[in-house]
Amino acid sequence: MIWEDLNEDLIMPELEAGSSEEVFQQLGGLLVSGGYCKTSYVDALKEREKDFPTGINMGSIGIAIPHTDKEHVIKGAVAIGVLKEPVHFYQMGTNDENVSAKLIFMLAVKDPKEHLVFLQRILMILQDQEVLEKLTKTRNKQEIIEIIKEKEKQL
Amino acid sequence: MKAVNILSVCGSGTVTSSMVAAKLKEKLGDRGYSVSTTEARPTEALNLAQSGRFDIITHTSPLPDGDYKIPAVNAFACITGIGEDQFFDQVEEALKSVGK
Repeated sequence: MIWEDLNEDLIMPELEAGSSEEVFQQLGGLLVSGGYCKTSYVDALKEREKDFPTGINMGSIGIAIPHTDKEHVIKGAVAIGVLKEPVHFYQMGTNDENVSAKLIFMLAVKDPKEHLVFLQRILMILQDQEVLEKLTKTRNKQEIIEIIKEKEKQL
Repeated sequence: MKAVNILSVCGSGTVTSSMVAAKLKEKLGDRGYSVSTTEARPTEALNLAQSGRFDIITHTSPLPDGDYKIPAVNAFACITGIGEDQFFDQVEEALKSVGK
């Protein structure tokens, strides 16, 4: 279960950021200071995002799933940010489709084969509009974990 | 079960290609296919595609120009879940076009 592994230290409700770079610094900074990622992680996120955007318009809600190469990762984790104001990303697979991201699921993946179940579960959570809607309206960390826990109970 | 090999491509060669690979195994399994996947970055895709080991490519990031010799299907729908059934129809069509 994902909710069991969620760490309150890696969750930022009411995240204030003016750009994707600021999102990377703040959320990525948590993964670095928590010992999940190397200090190179934040710059690697920025570089990767330029070539391979991670924004996704999930129906009416914009999200982004920033991640980068495994050599910058020490151990797997997910950091979650709910933005106070949406931040601009480009949609995955494009360089001209815009995404106003309200939710950030930053993924630190060390071994995708080992984390396959984790990645599948993340995707199932993200594909649920109702869950996304609830997450965008939360104001505290515990609530975010609860929403994900509730969703996972149904899987 | 028809055994098929699919090359799953995304920007980092890990995260979204693995998500797509997992769905391919599940959903094509329901359609009578036994699926093996290899995850790769776009820069690795051309060589791998030309190796003859794969039946088709699925990708969530654009593929660099080149003669891939096998069909390629955009897998973004797998990530959003929107239009996913059409995506699997396209994949099945692509597999049939290469005799699988």
